[in-house]
Amino acid sequence: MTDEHAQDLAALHALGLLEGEEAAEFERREAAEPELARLAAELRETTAALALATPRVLPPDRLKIVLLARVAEPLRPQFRVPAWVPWAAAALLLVSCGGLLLERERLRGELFRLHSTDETARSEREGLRGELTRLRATDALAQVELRALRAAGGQSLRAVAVVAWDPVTQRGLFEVQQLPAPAAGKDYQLWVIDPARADPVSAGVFLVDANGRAALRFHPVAANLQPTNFAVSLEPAGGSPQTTGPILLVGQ
Amino acid sequence: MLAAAAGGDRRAFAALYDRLAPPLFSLVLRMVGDHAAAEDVFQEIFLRIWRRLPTYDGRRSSVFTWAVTIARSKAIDHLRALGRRRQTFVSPLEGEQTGAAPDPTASGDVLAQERDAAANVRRALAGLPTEQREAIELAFFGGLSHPEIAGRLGQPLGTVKARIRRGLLRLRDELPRVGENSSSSPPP
Repeated sequence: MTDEHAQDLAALHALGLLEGEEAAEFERREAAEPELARLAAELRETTAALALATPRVLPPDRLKIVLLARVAEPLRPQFRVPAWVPWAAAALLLVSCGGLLLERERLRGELFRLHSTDETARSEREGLRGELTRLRATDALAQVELRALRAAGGQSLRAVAVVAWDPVTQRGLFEVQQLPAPAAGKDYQLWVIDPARADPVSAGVFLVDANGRAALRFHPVAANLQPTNFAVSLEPAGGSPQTTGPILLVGQ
Repeated sequence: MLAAAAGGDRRAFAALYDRLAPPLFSLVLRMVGDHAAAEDVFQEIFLRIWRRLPTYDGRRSSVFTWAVTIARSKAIDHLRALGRRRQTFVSPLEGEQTGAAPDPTASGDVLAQERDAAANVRRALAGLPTEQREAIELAFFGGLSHPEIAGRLGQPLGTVKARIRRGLLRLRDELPRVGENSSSSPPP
Protein backbone atom coordinates (compact mmCIF):
# COMPACT_ATOMS: atom_id res chain seq x y z
CA MET A 1 0.00 0.00 0.00
CA THR A 2 1.44 3.34 -1.00
CA ASP A 3 1.80 5.67 1.97
CA GLU A 4 0.02 9.01 2.07
CA HIS A 5 3.23 10.97 1.58
CA ALA A 6 3.98 9.02 -1.60
CA GLN A 7 0.39 9.54 -2.74
CA ASP A 8 0.77 13.27 -2.13
CA LEU A 9 3.94 13.28 -4.21
CA ALA A 10 2.29 11.28 -6.99
CA ALA A 11 -0.66 13.68 -7.13
CA LEU A 12 1.55 16.76 -7.10
CA HIS A 13 3.85 15.22 -9.71
CA ALA A 14 0.90 14.46 -11.98
CA LEU A 15 -0.05 18.14 -11.82
CA GLY A 16 3.53 19.25 -12.46
CA LEU A 17 3.80 20.81 -9.00
CA LEU A 18 6.99 19.07 -7.89
CA GLU A 19 10.28 20.78 -8.60
CA GLY A 20 13.94 20.31 -7.88
CA GLU A 21 14.83 17.80 -5.17
CA GLU A 22 11.20 16.89 -4.43
CA ALA A 23 10.69 15.90 -8.07
CA ALA A 24 13.96 13.97 -8.11
CA GLU A 25 13.01 12.12 -4.88
CA PHE A 26 9.66 11.16 -6.31
CA GLU A 27 11.13 9.92 -9.60
CA ARG A 28 13.64 7.77 -7.70
CA ARG A 29 10.84 6.20 -5.70
CA GLU A 30 8.69 5.78 -8.81
CA ALA A 31 11.50 3.91 -10.54
CA ALA A 32 12.01 1.63 -7.53
CA GLU A 33 8.40 0.95 -6.45
CA PRO A 34 6.08 -0.68 -9.01
CA GLU A 35 2.95 0.11 -7.00
CA LEU A 36 3.87 3.79 -6.81
CA ALA A 37 4.70 3.78 -10.52
CA ARG A 38 1.23 2.35 -11.26
CA LEU A 39 -0.44 5.01 -9.12
CA ALA A 40 1.62 7.76 -10.75
CA ALA A 41 0.65 6.58 -14.23
CA GLU A 42 -3.04 6.46 -13.28
CA LEU A 43 -2.94 9.96 -11.83
CA ARG A 44 -1.15 11.30 -14.90
CA GLU A 45 -3.94 9.98 -17.11
CA THR A 46 -6.60 11.33 -14.74
CA THR A 47 -4.96 14.75 -14.67
CA ALA A 48 -4.65 14.94 -18.44
CA ALA A 49 -8.35 14.14 -18.81
CA LEU A 50 -9.10 17.41 -17.03
CA ALA A 51 -8.18 19.14 -20.29
CA LEU A 52 -11.49 17.86 -21.68
CA ALA A 53 -13.42 19.89 -19.11
CA THR A 54 -12.73 23.11 -21.01
CA PRO A 55 -15.24 24.23 -23.64
CA ARG A 56 -14.13 23.01 -27.06
CA VAL A 57 -12.61 25.78 -29.20
CA LEU A 58 -11.15 24.95 -32.61
CA PRO A 59 -7.86 26.55 -33.64
CA PRO A 60 -7.90 28.61 -36.88
CA ASP A 61 -7.12 26.54 -39.98
CA ARG A 62 -4.17 28.76 -40.87
CA LEU A 63 -2.29 27.57 -37.77
CA LYS A 64 -2.21 24.08 -39.22
CA ILE A 65 -0.95 25.36 -42.58
CA VAL A 66 1.83 27.36 -40.98
CA LEU A 67 2.74 24.53 -38.64
CA LEU A 68 2.98 21.94 -41.42
CA ALA A 69 5.12 24.37 -43.39
CA ARG A 70 7.44 24.84 -40.43
CA VAL A 71 7.98 21.12 -40.02
CA ALA A 72 8.34 20.62 -43.77
CA GLU A 73 11.47 19.21 -45.31
CA PRO A 74 13.27 21.39 -47.91
CA LEU A 75 11.55 21.27 -51.30
CA ARG A 76 12.68 18.18 -53.13
CA PRO A 77 10.75 15.43 -54.88
CA GLN A 78 10.54 12.64 -52.29
CA PHE A 79 7.15 11.54 -53.47
CA ARG A 80 5.70 9.57 -56.32
CA VAL A 81 5.30 12.12 -59.08
CA PRO A 82 2.23 11.74 -61.28
CA ALA A 83 3.03 10.87 -64.90
CA TRP A 84 1.93 14.23 -66.23
CA VAL A 85 4.32 16.19 -63.97
CA PRO A 86 7.32 15.91 -66.30
CA TRP A 87 5.16 17.51 -69.02
CA ALA A 88 4.31 20.36 -66.67
CA ALA A 89 7.99 20.77 -65.80
CA ALA A 90 8.89 20.55 -69.49
CA ALA A 91 6.34 23.24 -70.29
CA LEU A 92 7.86 25.48 -67.64
CA LEU A 93 11.34 24.71 -68.94
CA LEU A 94 10.24 25.67 -72.45
CA VAL A 95 8.89 28.95 -71.19
CA SER A 96 12.12 29.62 -69.29
CA CYS A 97 14.35 28.54 -72.17
CA GLY A 98 12.30 30.63 -74.56
CA GLY A 99 12.95 33.59 -72.36
CA LEU A 100 16.65 32.80 -72.26
CA LEU A 101 16.81 32.44 -76.07
CA LEU A 102 15.18 35.79 -76.54
CA GLU A 103 17.55 37.33 -74.05
CA ARG A 104 20.52 35.78 -75.84
CA GLU A 105 19.39 37.09 -79.21
CA ARG A 106 18.90 40.50 -77.73
CA LEU A 107 22.38 40.44 -76.34
CA ARG A 108 23.79 39.27 -79.70
CA GLY A 109 22.17 42.18 -81.41
CA GLU A 110 23.44 44.50 -78.76
CA LEU A 111 26.93 43.07 -79.15
CA PHE A 112 26.89 43.62 -82.91
CA ARG A 113 25.74 47.20 -82.53
CA LEU A 114 28.47 47.99 -80.09
CA HIS A 115 31.21 46.40 -82.16
CA SER A 116 31.57 49.44 -84.37
CA THR A 117 31.78 52.11 -81.63
CA ASP A 118 34.52 53.64 -79.51
CA GLU A 119 36.44 52.63 -76.34
CA THR A 120 33.44 53.14 -74.04
CA ALA A 121 31.44 50.79 -76.18
CA ARG A 122 34.33 48.29 -76.11
CA SER A 123 34.21 48.06 -72.30
CA GLU A 124 30.44 47.67 -72.43
CA ARG A 125 30.90 44.94 -74.95
CA GLU A 126 33.17 43.06 -72.61
CA GLY A 127 30.53 43.28 -69.87
CA LEU A 128 27.83 41.93 -72.16
CA ARG A 129 30.06 39.07 -73.26
CA GLY A 130 30.39 38.06 -69.65
CA GLU A 131 26.63 38.22 -69.18
CA LEU A 132 26.03 36.13 -72.28
CA THR A 133 28.43 33.51 -70.99
CA ARG A 134 26.60 33.40 -67.70
CA LEU A 135 23.24 32.99 -69.40
CA ARG A 136 24.55 30.17 -71.58
CA ALA A 137 25.72 28.39 -68.44
CA THR A 138 22.40 28.80 -66.67
CA ASP A 139 20.47 25.59 -66.29
CA ALA A 140 16.88 26.78 -66.05
CA LEU A 141 15.54 23.47 -64.82
CA ALA A 142 17.85 23.14 -61.80
CA GLN A 143 16.28 26.07 -59.97
CA VAL A 144 12.69 24.85 -60.41
CA GLU A 145 11.23 23.31 -57.29
CA LEU A 146 8.41 20.78 -57.41
CA ARG A 147 5.81 20.01 -54.77
CA ALA A 148 2.90 17.56 -54.95
CA LEU A 149 -0.29 18.44 -53.13
CA ARG A 150 -2.73 15.91 -51.74
CA ALA A 151 -5.85 15.95 -49.60
CA ALA A 152 -5.29 17.64 -46.24
CA GLY A 153 -5.86 15.56 -43.10
CA GLY A 154 -9.52 14.64 -42.75
CA GLN A 155 -10.43 15.52 -46.34
CA SER A 156 -11.70 12.68 -48.52
CA LEU A 157 -10.66 14.16 -51.87
CA ARG A 158 -9.03 12.11 -54.63
CA ALA A 159 -7.58 15.23 -56.21
CA VAL A 160 -3.85 15.52 -56.78
CA ALA A 161 -1.96 18.62 -57.76
CA VAL A 162 1.56 19.74 -58.45
CA VAL A 163 3.29 23.06 -58.18
CA ALA A 164 6.45 23.93 -60.09
CA TRP A 165 7.97 27.02 -58.50
CA ASP A 166 10.79 29.15 -59.93
CA PRO A 167 12.39 31.06 -57.05
CA VAL A 168 14.33 33.31 -59.44
CA THR A 169 11.36 34.63 -61.39
CA GLN A 170 8.98 34.19 -58.41
CA ARG A 171 6.51 32.51 -60.74
CA GLY A 172 4.93 29.12 -60.64
CA LEU A 173 2.90 26.60 -62.53
CA PHE A 174 0.00 24.82 -60.85
CA GLU A 175 -1.95 21.87 -62.17
CA VAL A 176 -4.64 19.84 -60.46
CA GLN A 177 -6.71 16.84 -61.45
CA GLN A 178 -9.86 15.20 -60.07
CA LEU A 179 -10.94 18.25 -58.09
CA PRO A 180 -14.74 18.47 -58.05
CA ALA A 181 -16.43 21.75 -58.90
CA PRO A 182 -16.93 23.88 -55.77
CA ALA A 183 -20.36 24.66 -54.37
CA ALA A 184 -22.20 27.70 -55.66
CA GLY A 185 -20.75 30.91 -54.29
CA LYS A 186 -17.35 29.33 -53.62
CA ASP A 187 -13.98 29.35 -55.36
CA TYR A 188 -10.78 27.39 -54.95
CA GLN A 189 -7.80 29.53 -53.98
CA LEU A 190 -4.12 28.68 -54.16
CA TRP A 191 -1.79 29.81 -51.37
CA VAL A 192 1.96 30.13 -51.02
CA ILE A 193 3.31 29.38 -47.55
CA ASP A 194 6.42 31.27 -46.57
CA PRO A 195 7.42 30.75 -42.91
CA ALA A 196 8.85 34.28 -42.84
CA ARG A 197 5.34 35.64 -43.27
CA ALA A 198 2.58 35.53 -40.68
CA ASP A 199 -0.08 34.44 -43.17
CA PRO A 200 -0.13 32.43 -46.39
CA VAL A 201 0.17 34.56 -49.54
CA SER A 202 -2.58 34.31 -52.13
CA ALA A 203 -1.64 32.98 -55.55
CA GLY A 204 -5.14 33.53 -56.90
CA VAL A 205 -8.40 31.69 -57.42
CA PHE A 206 -8.92 29.14 -60.16
CA LEU A 207 -11.68 27.25 -61.90
CA VAL A 208 -11.77 23.56 -62.72
CA ASP A 209 -13.17 22.23 -65.98
CA ALA A 210 -15.79 19.52 -66.35
CA ASN A 211 -13.10 16.89 -65.73
CA GLY A 212 -11.97 18.46 -62.46
CA ARG A 213 -8.78 19.77 -64.03
CA ALA A 214 -7.15 23.18 -63.86
CA ALA A 215 -3.80 24.57 -64.92
CA LEU A 216 -2.51 28.04 -64.33
CA ARG A 217 0.59 30.12 -64.12
CA PHE A 218 0.75 32.22 -60.98
CA HIS A 219 2.76 35.17 -59.83
CA PRO A 220 2.03 36.14 -56.19
CA VAL A 221 1.84 39.82 -55.48
CA ALA A 222 4.26 39.58 -52.55
CA ALA A 223 7.95 39.77 -53.43
CA ASN A 224 10.97 37.70 -52.41
CA LEU A 225 8.96 34.69 -51.41
CA GLN A 226 10.77 31.62 -50.16
CA PRO A 227 7.95 29.15 -49.97
CA THR A 228 8.22 25.89 -48.14
CA ASN A 229 4.76 24.70 -49.08
CA PHE A 230 1.59 25.37 -51.01
CA ALA A 231 -2.07 24.79 -50.22
CA VAL A 232 -5.54 25.03 -51.76
CA SER A 233 -8.53 26.20 -49.74
CA LEU A 234 -12.20 26.74 -50.42
CA GLU A 235 -13.12 30.41 -50.17
CA PRO A 236 -16.07 32.68 -50.92
CA ALA A 237 -16.46 33.46 -54.62
CA GLY A 238 -13.72 35.79 -55.76
CA GLY A 239 -11.30 34.67 -53.07
CA SER A 240 -10.20 36.11 -49.75
CA PRO A 241 -7.20 38.16 -48.67
CA GLN A 242 -6.56 35.49 -46.01
CA THR A 243 -7.62 31.89 -45.64
CA THR A 244 -11.10 31.65 -44.21
CA GLY A 245 -12.29 28.30 -45.47
CA PRO A 246 -11.14 24.70 -45.03
CA ILE A 247 -7.78 23.62 -46.40
CA LEU A 248 -8.43 20.95 -49.02
CA LEU A 249 -5.04 20.25 -50.52
CA VAL A 250 -1.64 20.74 -48.95
CA GLY A 251 1.90 19.94 -50.04
CA GLN A 252 3.38 16.67 -48.93
CA MET B 1 0.15 6.77 -37.19
CA LEU B 2 2.37 7.63 -34.21
CA ALA B 3 5.32 5.63 -35.48
CA ALA B 4 4.95 7.22 -38.91
CA ALA B 5 4.76 10.72 -37.45
CA ALA B 6 7.77 10.01 -35.23
CA GLY B 7 9.61 8.94 -38.37
CA GLY B 8 8.99 12.30 -40.00
CA ASP B 9 5.83 11.48 -41.94
CA ARG B 10 4.09 14.84 -42.09
CA ARG B 11 0.82 13.39 -43.29
CA ALA B 12 0.72 11.21 -40.16
CA PHE B 13 1.65 14.23 -38.08
CA ALA B 14 -1.18 16.19 -39.69
CA ALA B 15 -3.59 13.42 -38.69
CA LEU B 16 -2.22 13.48 -35.14
CA TYR B 17 -2.66 17.25 -35.15
CA ASP B 18 -6.30 16.88 -36.18
CA ARG B 19 -6.98 14.61 -33.18
CA LEU B 20 -5.08 16.62 -30.57
CA ALA B 21 -5.57 20.21 -31.73
CA PRO B 22 -9.11 20.88 -30.44
CA PRO B 23 -8.56 19.81 -26.81
CA LEU B 24 -5.06 21.29 -26.64
CA PHE B 25 -6.10 24.63 -28.14
CA SER B 26 -9.09 24.78 -25.81
CA LEU B 27 -6.84 24.10 -22.82
CA VAL B 28 -4.20 26.65 -23.80
CA LEU B 29 -6.80 29.32 -24.47
CA ARG B 30 -8.35 28.68 -21.06
CA MET B 31 -4.95 28.91 -19.36
CA VAL B 32 -3.45 31.97 -21.06
CA GLY B 33 -6.74 33.78 -21.57
CA ASP B 34 -5.67 35.66 -24.70
CA HIS B 35 -6.43 34.43 -28.22
CA ALA B 36 -3.30 35.80 -29.89
CA ALA B 37 -1.03 34.47 -27.15
CA ALA B 38 -2.84 31.12 -27.23
CA GLU B 39 -2.11 30.81 -30.97
CA ASP B 40 1.61 31.46 -30.42
CA VAL B 41 1.85 29.03 -27.51
CA PHE B 42 -0.18 26.48 -29.45
CA GLN B 43 2.26 26.59 -32.39
CA GLU B 44 5.21 26.09 -30.03
CA ILE B 45 3.44 23.15 -28.41
CA PHE B 46 3.06 21.29 -31.66
CA LEU B 47 6.59 22.09 -32.75
CA ARG B 48 7.79 20.53 -29.50
CA ILE B 49 5.51 17.55 -30.06
CA TRP B 50 6.97 17.14 -33.55
CA ARG B 51 10.56 17.31 -32.25
CA ARG B 52 9.96 15.00 -29.29
CA LEU B 53 7.82 12.37 -30.98
CA PRO B 54 10.82 10.11 -31.60
CA THR B 55 11.41 9.95 -27.83
CA TYR B 56 7.77 9.42 -26.79
CA ASP B 57 7.49 6.36 -24.53
CA GLY B 58 4.07 4.73 -24.77
CA ARG B 59 4.74 2.65 -21.65
CA ARG B 60 4.74 5.77 -19.49
CA SER B 61 1.53 7.45 -20.68
CA SER B 62 -0.95 7.74 -23.51
CA VAL B 63 -0.01 10.17 -26.28
CA PHE B 64 -2.88 12.42 -25.19
CA THR B 65 -1.47 12.62 -21.65
CA TRP B 66 2.01 13.24 -23.02
CA ALA B 67 0.72 16.02 -25.27
CA VAL B 68 -1.33 17.65 -22.47
CA THR B 69 1.80 17.66 -20.28
CA ILE B 70 3.72 19.48 -23.00
CA ALA B 71 0.84 21.90 -23.54
CA ARG B 72 0.52 22.79 -19.85
CA SER B 73 4.27 23.18 -19.50
CA LYS B 74 4.39 25.62 -22.42
CA ALA B 75 1.35 27.56 -21.19
CA ILE B 76 2.80 27.85 -17.68
CA ASP B 77 6.17 28.96 -19.10
CA HIS B 78 4.32 31.65 -21.04
CA LEU B 79 2.48 32.86 -17.94
CA ARG B 80 5.68 32.88 -15.87
CA ALA B 81 7.59 34.75 -18.59
CA LEU B 82 4.96 37.44 -18.40
CA GLY B 83 5.41 37.46 -14.63
CA ARG B 84 1.75 37.07 -14.00
CA ARG B 85 -1.05 34.72 -13.23
CA ARG B 86 -4.58 35.37 -14.31
CA GLN B 87 -5.96 37.59 -11.62
CA THR B 88 -9.46 36.34 -12.15
CA PHE B 89 -9.63 32.61 -12.40
CA VAL B 90 -12.75 31.15 -13.96
CA SER B 91 -13.40 27.49 -13.41
CA PRO B 92 -14.12 25.67 -16.65
CA LEU B 93 -17.35 24.54 -15.02
CA GLU B 94 -18.43 28.16 -14.69
CA GLY B 95 -17.34 29.22 -18.13
CA GLU B 96 -19.43 29.11 -21.29
CA GLN B 97 -20.86 25.68 -21.90
CA THR B 98 -21.87 26.16 -25.52
CA GLY B 99 -19.21 23.56 -26.18
CA ALA B 100 -18.37 22.14 -29.56
CA ALA B 101 -17.71 24.52 -32.38
CA PRO B 102 -18.57 22.87 -35.71
CA ASP B 103 -15.64 20.76 -36.84
CA PRO B 104 -16.10 19.76 -40.48
CA THR B 105 -13.11 17.41 -40.36
CA ALA B 106 -14.35 15.19 -37.53
CA SER B 107 -16.73 12.32 -38.07
CA GLY B 108 -19.96 12.17 -36.10
CA ASP B 109 -18.69 9.20 -34.07
CA VAL B 110 -15.50 11.00 -33.05
CA LEU B 111 -17.38 14.12 -32.00
CA ALA B 112 -19.93 12.11 -30.01
CA GLN B 113 -17.17 10.19 -28.24
CA GLU B 114 -15.30 13.37 -27.36
CA ARG B 115 -18.49 15.07 -26.19
CA ASP B 116 -19.21 12.10 -23.92
CA ALA B 117 -15.68 12.14 -22.53
CA ALA B 118 -15.88 15.88 -21.87
CA ALA B 119 -19.26 15.57 -20.19
CA ASN B 120 -17.97 12.75 -17.98
CA VAL B 121 -14.97 14.76 -16.87
CA ARG B 122 -17.09 17.83 -16.09
CA ARG B 123 -19.54 15.72 -14.16
CA ALA B 124 -16.76 14.07 -12.14
CA LEU B 125 -15.11 17.42 -11.44
CA ALA B 126 -18.41 18.97 -10.38
CA GLY B 127 -18.97 16.03 -8.06
CA LEU B 128 -15.85 16.77 -6.01
CA PRO B 129 -16.09 18.63 -2.72
CA THR B 130 -15.59 22.32 -3.46
CA GLU B 131 -12.29 22.61 -1.62
CA GLN B 132 -10.78 19.69 -3.55
CA ARG B 133 -12.06 20.93 -6.90
CA GLU B 134 -10.77 24.46 -6.30
CA ALA B 135 -7.29 23.25 -5.42
CA ILE B 136 -7.06 21.01 -8.49
CA GLU B 137 -8.43 23.64 -10.85
CA LEU B 138 -6.02 26.29 -9.57
CA ALA B 139 -3.15 23.86 -10.14
CA PHE B 140 -4.22 22.45 -13.51
CA PHE B 141 -5.87 25.40 -15.24
CA GLY B 142 -4.40 28.30 -13.25
CA GLY B 143 -0.81 27.09 -13.43
CA LEU B 144 -0.21 28.02 -9.77
CA SER B 145 2.43 26.31 -7.64
CA HIS B 146 1.16 24.62 -4.49
CA PRO B 147 2.50 27.40 -2.21
CA GLU B 148 0.61 29.88 -4.43
CA ILE B 149 -2.54 27.76 -4.18
CA ALA B 150 -2.14 27.66 -0.40
CA GLY B 151 -1.79 31.44 -0.37
CA ARG B 152 -4.77 31.94 -2.67
CA LEU B 153 -7.00 29.68 -0.59
CA GLY B 154 -5.60 30.85 2.74
CA GLN B 155 -4.76 27.30 3.76
CA PRO B 156 -1.61 25.54 5.02
CA LEU B 157 0.54 23.71 2.46
CA GLY B 158 -0.23 20.34 4.00
CA THR B 159 -3.96 20.95 3.72
CA VAL B 160 -3.64 21.88 0.05
CA LYS B 161 -1.58 18.76 -0.68
CA ALA B 162 -4.15 16.57 1.03
CA ARG B 163 -7.04 18.18 -0.89
CA ILE B 164 -5.23 17.69 -4.19
CA ARG B 165 -4.40 14.06 -3.35
CA ARG B 166 -7.94 13.20 -2.27
CA GLY B 167 -9.48 15.03 -5.24
CA LEU B 168 -7.29 13.33 -7.84
CA LEU B 169 -7.75 9.90 -6.30
CA ARG B 170 -11.49 10.41 -6.33
CA LEU B 171 -11.42 11.56 -9.95
CA ARG B 172 -9.33 8.52 -10.83
CA ASP B 173 -11.93 6.28 -9.25
CA GLU B 174 -14.95 8.16 -10.65
CA LEU B 175 -13.99 8.72 -14.27
CA PRO B 176 -14.13 5.13 -15.55
CA ARG B 177 -17.52 4.61 -13.88
CA VAL B 178 -19.24 7.85 -14.96
CA GLY B 179 -21.71 7.02 -17.74
CA GLU B 180 -22.33 3.34 -18.26
CA ASN B 181 -22.59 3.48 -22.03
CA SER B 182 -20.25 6.32 -22.74
CA SER B 183 -16.54 6.70 -22.69
CA SER B 184 -14.57 8.84 -20.32
CA SER B 185 -11.46 8.19 -22.32
CA PRO B 186 -9.78 11.09 -24.02
CA PRO B 187 -8.48 10.79 -27.57
CA PRO B 188 -5.71 8.13 -27.86
